[in-house]
Amino acid sequence: MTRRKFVCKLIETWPVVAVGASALARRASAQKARLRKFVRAARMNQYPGPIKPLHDICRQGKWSG
Amino acid sequence: MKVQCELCPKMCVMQPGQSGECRVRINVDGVLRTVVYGYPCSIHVDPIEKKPLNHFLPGSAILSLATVGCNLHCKNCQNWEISQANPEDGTIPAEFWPPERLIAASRQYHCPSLAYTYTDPIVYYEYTYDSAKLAKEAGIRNVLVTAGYVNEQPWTQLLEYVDAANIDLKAMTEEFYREVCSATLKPVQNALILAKARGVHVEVTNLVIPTLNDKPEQIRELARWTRANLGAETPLHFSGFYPCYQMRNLPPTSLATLETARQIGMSEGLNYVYIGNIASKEGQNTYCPGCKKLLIERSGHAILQNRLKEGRCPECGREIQGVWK
Repeated sequence: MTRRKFVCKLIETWPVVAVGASALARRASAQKARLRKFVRAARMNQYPGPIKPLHDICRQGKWSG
Repeated sequence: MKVQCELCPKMCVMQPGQSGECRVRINVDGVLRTVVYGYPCSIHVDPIEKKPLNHFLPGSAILSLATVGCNLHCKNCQNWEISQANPEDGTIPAEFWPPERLIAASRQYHCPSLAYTYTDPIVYYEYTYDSAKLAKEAGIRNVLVTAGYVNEQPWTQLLEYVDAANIDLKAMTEEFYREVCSATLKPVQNALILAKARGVHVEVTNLVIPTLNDKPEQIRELARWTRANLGAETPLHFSGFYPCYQMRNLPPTSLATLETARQIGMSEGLNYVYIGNIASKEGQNTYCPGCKKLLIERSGHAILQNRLKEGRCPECGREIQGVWK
């Protein structure tokens, strides 16, 4: 195979190599995340939205679930 | 400094001041913080059948709560006003309810269990976890109503305090999860399998949406997967869709479609297949898988009669899977 043909072959197969490498990287990252200990989020000091008493607690909620 | 939230498979990376996709977990000066801890936007005493749970303390009341936010963005969300809200919008007020207050209210309203529901308890994970731990210590049971889109580690830690869960299995294709919910299927299947393996009472809900996931072969695949991975005794709820949020162009699910889904579920070997969100005589009752006799008769969310004796069929004595007391 000439150098020119080899380069052409490489260019042709580039998308396949890229997809493979990206899949391997994704899998490795997921694996790493699984092994890492989950860290809880800390509490905020203040709620950023409006605060009002909740009503009709003893009545069935209007939301689904 | 950037932080990464490792709670759900989205694994959001946030710049300082940025929130994750759920809008309630935020990077504050390089520290991941939960905005909604202790601030529910909704608390109600519901019948447990509304979750829906048909095999867990039937006829009991359950103190149900939610904060704003969700890690999914389902185009058909029935609770989108709170699930897709941002606390800073100022549209949805909240009140301070620390875990201790939830336990006291459960007692006050005679609720033997607490439900983390309406939006998704995964996004208010720390609040759910601390409340569930405290509730368990106080003899109150914990119920999750969730899409199950969560990473394995936090899920396993939370399951330690969970007694029952109704987990959505929205469809059996990655395409549906991606296009309709901005999520993926595999983590949900893992969450279901893990919950079952940890001894949590699991019921599955599938919202049947016309043209999107209502074909008999799609229903069959879902029922088959449920039976193979969660067991024939796992209750499966086929729930009716109503046009809302970003999916107002589709019609509501017909009773006939839901009845067909139920028949398919039972033909695939599932023992308890229910119809929800629509009136159905047989589809809401529990029948003995052995002798086919009526065990629990329901109308809407009300129990008309419960003939179970110590969790068994009074006719043939067959044990019925569930938590009955």
